[in-house]
Amino acid sequence: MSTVSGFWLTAYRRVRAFWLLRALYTLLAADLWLEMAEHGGRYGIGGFNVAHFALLDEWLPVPTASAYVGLVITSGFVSLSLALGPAPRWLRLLLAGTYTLTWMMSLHDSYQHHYLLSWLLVWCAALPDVPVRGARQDTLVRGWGLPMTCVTCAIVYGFTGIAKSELEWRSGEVLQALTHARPPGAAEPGKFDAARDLLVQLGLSEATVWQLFALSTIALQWTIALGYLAAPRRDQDAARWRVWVVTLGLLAAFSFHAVAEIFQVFEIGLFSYYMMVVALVLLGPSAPLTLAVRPVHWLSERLSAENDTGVPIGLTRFWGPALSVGMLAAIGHVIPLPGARVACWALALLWLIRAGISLRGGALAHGVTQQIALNAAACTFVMWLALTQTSVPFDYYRRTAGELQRMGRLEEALSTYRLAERYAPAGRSRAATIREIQRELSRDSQHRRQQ
Amino acid sequence: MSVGLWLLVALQVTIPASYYLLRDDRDDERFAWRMFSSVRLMHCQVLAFDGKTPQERTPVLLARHLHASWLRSLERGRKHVVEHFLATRCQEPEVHYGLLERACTSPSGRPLPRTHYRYDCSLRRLEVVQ
Repeated sequence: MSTVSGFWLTAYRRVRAFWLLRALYTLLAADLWLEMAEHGGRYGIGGFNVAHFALLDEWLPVPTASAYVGLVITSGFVSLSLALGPAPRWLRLLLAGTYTLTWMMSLHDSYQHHYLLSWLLVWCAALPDVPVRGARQDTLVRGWGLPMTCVTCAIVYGFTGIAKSELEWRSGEVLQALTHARPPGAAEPGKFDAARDLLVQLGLSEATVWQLFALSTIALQWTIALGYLAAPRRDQDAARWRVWVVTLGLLAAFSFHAVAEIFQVFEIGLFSYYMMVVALVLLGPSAPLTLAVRPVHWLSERLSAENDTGVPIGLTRFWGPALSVGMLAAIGHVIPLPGARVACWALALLWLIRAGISLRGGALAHGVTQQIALNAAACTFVMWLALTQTSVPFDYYRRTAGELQRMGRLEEALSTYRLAERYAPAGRSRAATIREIQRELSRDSQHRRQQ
Repeated sequence: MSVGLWLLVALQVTIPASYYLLRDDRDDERFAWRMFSSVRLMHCQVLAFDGKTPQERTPVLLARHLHASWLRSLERGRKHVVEHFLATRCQEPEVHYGLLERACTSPSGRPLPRTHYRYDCSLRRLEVVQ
């Protein structure tokens, strides 16, 4: 087998596949529910939309808030379910599809990291679904999912470095704008100004300092890219140079994304966390990853329907799935967001089919059925927490209302602000805005009567 | 299988590389892995007009017609959004041209050349003049 074709069958430790699936899907569920759902109100406003590709504009109707939020809720649920396992391949592919549709349906969402995640989700479907018990085994697995994930990350960092090699970046001009740089001694210094001042005191000119920062950023991108290129064969061929390159890549990834997050340079939601998790799993040594499986294994053993610890889980073969699926359908009526009901009913139906298919498998499948039931119950509970006990409903309605107000659609804005007010966390009331709109509407009405 | 996978790698390289090689739309960085590039950090403002003729025009209050997210897309020079928006203006009576002006400054505040977009309602075609 040549090196070129053999690359896709590189052997790697099971624990990497285990954590890549679990960590990525967990983060994605959090991202979908806590970051993306609240932006749903902008879809369909004014009946205007442009999809990422002209073909989609022809095929799809103008997306509505219900359609977008419903898709986000569904994708989040599937994602968390896959994170908890089991992670059947068809469900992973379904998630890659629904997630991709969430951003592809409209140029409202043109975050490049959403596009990156779509690639990664497709590659995740090619990874083996390593169960918790198998994750700690020392034997290696083969497959193209993990090498392709590394290659995609290398391409992304490689091109990010190329983009930053343009004159405006190399000169530090862009970095100054990004970090809101101010002249030395300013009352509100920029994010990197303290470091700049320190280096200036050491004798460097200000222009040189900014160039140094910019060039360091480019060097970090390419170090990370090289790390990812060397990573796939790390477990199979741990040559010293390879371990060095991969470890440098890991350190570079962590320093770059941690600095970006600590100084809030980029303001890109959970992207830094995604990239730190992916770096840890793909570039990190396997021993700590294996160690981290222990508590998950312990918990899994306690919850597993197959174990003999005598802990009663209190769920029968039929009532368990029925109850959890019923709960899932019902929770859609509690989540105060458009599209939630349809999404939850669709998910309930899908999980019912999954449970039904596993029931047909006979005695052996009994554990699988209970696993599906437990999985649905856990995901439903977390979804309820994420979409009702956080500021997501408030943020959804206040964002929508704010836009309607700006567009001069005051009556709609008023009713939407009133909805937001129901879910307002302490200190974030919009009562003053509501009064302001009421006054404005009353003035308009008086004005019309006088005319 | 292996060939197919290498083709996928080639595709992943070709898509962002096309941004540099084709250079047909400098503002469209969506698939080029150019996060926080100099293009992304330009500050732009747009003005839209309904035109009876390319010369005779009345301003359009963009904020009343579009969500802020679409305004940002216009400011970023997303050609598909510009085209769709100007095409919607053609549905208004006596509008034969949709016009948009985009004025940008570099991240350091240096003014950049203006871009003029003109959508011809009868031909259903967008022209971009730098």
